[in-house]
Amino acid sequence: MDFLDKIKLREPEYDEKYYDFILKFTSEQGASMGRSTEEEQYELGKYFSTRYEMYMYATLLGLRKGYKVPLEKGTNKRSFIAINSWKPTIIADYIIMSVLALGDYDFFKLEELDIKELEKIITTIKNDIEAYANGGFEIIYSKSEEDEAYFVENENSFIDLLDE
Amino acid sequence: MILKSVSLRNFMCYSGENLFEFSEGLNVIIGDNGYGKSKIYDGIYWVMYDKCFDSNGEEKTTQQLGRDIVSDKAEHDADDGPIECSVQLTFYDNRKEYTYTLERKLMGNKRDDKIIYSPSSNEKVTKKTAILSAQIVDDEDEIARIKKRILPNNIKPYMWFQGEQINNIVDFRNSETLTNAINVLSDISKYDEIASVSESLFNSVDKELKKKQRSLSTDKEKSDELEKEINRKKSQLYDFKLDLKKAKEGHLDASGKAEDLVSKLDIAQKIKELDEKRLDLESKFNSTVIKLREAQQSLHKKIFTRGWILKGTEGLFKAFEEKKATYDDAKLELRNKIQEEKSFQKKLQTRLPENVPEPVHVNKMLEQEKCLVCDREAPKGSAAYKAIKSLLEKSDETLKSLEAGESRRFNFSSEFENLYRTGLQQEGKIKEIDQDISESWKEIDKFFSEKEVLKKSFGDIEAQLENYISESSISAADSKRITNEVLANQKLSSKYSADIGSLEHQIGIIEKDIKRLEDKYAKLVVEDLPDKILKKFQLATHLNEAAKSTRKRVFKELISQLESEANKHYLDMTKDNLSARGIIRLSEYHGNYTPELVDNEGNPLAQLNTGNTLLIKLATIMAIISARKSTRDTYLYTLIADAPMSSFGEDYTLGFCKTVSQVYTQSIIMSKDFYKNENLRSQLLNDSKINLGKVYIVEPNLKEKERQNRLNLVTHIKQLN
Repeated sequence: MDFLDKIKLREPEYDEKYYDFILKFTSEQGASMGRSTEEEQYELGKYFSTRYEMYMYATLLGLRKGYKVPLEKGTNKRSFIAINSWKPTIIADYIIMSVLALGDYDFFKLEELDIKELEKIITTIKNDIEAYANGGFEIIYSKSEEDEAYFVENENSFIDLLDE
Repeated sequence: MILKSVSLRNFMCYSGENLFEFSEGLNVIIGDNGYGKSKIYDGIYWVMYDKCFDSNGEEKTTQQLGRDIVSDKAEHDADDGPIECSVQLTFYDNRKEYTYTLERKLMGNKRDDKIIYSPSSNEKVTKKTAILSAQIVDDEDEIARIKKRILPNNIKPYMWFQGEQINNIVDFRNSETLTNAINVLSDISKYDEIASVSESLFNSVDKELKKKQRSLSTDKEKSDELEKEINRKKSQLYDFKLDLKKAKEGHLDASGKAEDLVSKLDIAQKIKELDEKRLDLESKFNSTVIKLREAQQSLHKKIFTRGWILKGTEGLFKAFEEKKATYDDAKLELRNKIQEEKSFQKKLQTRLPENVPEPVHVNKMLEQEKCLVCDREAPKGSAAYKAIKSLLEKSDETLKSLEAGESRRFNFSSEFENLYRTGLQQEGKIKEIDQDISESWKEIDKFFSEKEVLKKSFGDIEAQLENYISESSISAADSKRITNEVLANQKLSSKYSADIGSLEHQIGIIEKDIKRLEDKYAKLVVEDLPDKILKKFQLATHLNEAAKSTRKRVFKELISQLESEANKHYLDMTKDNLSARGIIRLSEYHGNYTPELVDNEGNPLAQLNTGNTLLIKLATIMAIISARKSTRDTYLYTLIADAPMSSFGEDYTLGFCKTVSQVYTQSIIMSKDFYKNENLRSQLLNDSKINLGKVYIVEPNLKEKERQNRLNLVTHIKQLN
């Protein structure tokens, strides 16, 4: 069994309440249809080409801040493409690496588990990714609520936010 | 003839009844742009010529203009029934004490919000003498004569004009313009008539003389032949002289045009240079904007492509590294154990063969806690005891169990290794992110600064360019044309100059030929010619020469007088302006005169602006008027000028007004110059040197923004004195 491949087959979800908020910063429609040029993206104030780019950013923000907010049961969720489609792959791998690093996973013992048990672990890992992403979204959302101009007037806002 | 009043009824922006009364002296109608000043000029012009000017300054007939002549408010307010738009002019001839009223009317009919106008206007002229009451003038010829008395067509360009028209109408580059103006406004034509009569007389006497000479000729056939040759040569001479005249005019025109343009050449070249610079800066600016935009766009892209998204995540990698190390240690430990077990087994295998000693003996040794092979004590728990006991245990099972541990269900080590390598690879880059971001911003800042510098330079160049263009009225596109036209006119001028030389040379030869032929012709006459004929011929010759020289002398005197008058007016008009320079000289070019501005040493001044040129023209026209002021001719005509001062600065305005008021018996001027500048207006009203007539101010009831809806537009007229 290829452990990483199994993880990457999963399609992480996010709280539906962030759907419009994510769209504010992505030019996903155009990009997915191959119409949005970088220039248009810039002109429209879109920082990310796709939803998964922003998702990756949110997950890494949550990971970097150690801020994990698991999606509660009953949350209306939205999913998008599986991790194995996220680009750049190296960043997707780095996210998995980080989730494994911060989670309560004994690598050595993982190898002793049977398939069913391992699938459970993989689900937990996916849940962790979602929890960090959810945490990241919460940070971004709070920031934009706190200071409406933050993401509008500062080209470097998403980089700056990593340092705050 | 004095224009006593203008009455406008529903004409253009003048809804209802509107009356302007004028007197001798300078009458001024003041108003800002779009306030209705020009409509008064239009009204006067309409009555006289059944035409008005459209927004482009082009003459349009009543039929072409149609309802544009009628006030929108009048149309809107009118009930069903007739609508009248009319203008009435009242002129007074104080020498004859006649009063003429000229009225033009356009009638329309309104029904259910639709108005139909007559295709043409109606004209009504009345004449009132000191004794008789007003009579309607029906006779078309009489109406034409009255209008001619008000303003003859050939004088119109000099007396009635709009600011922008005068440059075109009075074109002194045409060498005959000044001569024509002098002819129209002076009595020089009388001298022309005398010269013409004396020339006819001379020709007739000359013919008579020739006839007599032929009759007295010794060789009549030869005389006939010579006479024919002389006539042929004279006809040739006439043609050459005509060609010479044309060549001289052509030369004057081409050199004048070239000269005019040469004065613009420097500025045209400057404009061209600035325009090229502007285009270059524009291109650099656009390219920097693109670079800046690309750099700004790449900021977003670099979050992923350069891994900026991982900024500050070194800790995550460290955490993974630790876990990976624990995992690796555990794996290693297991491998070591297996290795140890294998070594032990191997060792054991070399010491004793399998099942030696047999298990029954081993159990006995354990019971006795003693090695029965070497007879040494092996207390329970001691190493010797354990060694004996291990002989009983199945060693390969331990090894199997250990090996089973290593060959577990899964082995993720290569995947963990891959993740570790990913992290390791990024760790190095993460350290460089801050530097990378900083350099990217430096690049953006650099482009931004470059853009700002270029923008400023572009703005400066554009301002300079606009300044040059507005001052010189030469557009960037014109600057190239000017350069080409200068060259073309210079070439043309050289060609005409060569033609003149050649024609003058040929004329000289023909004149000599004629003289030679006439001498030959005279020699064929051996008998004396009758004294009577000879004396008649001499008299006719003297008279012809005297008439020509007198005309020339009188014209020269007139020119000299005009020059002096023109300079007086020019000085009067420019004395409040310190930058005004030069004096007007009426220079002769091949028998025609052109006004130009020269310095004290008589050198023509270059690069005159539109204001200067207009002042020279106005001063010259005024000179023609003032030189003839004592005669009835110029007294008769009123100067009506719409925005005559629009081309020159405010500091010329009062000087112009003073001069106009002194030169013209009556003048009516529409001007915006006194509208906003209340100080200037006060000076106009109080300057004792200005022979002031009536002054009005016209203002619409609506503000500019509201004036688009003209249905409520009323023009208020206020008399200021």
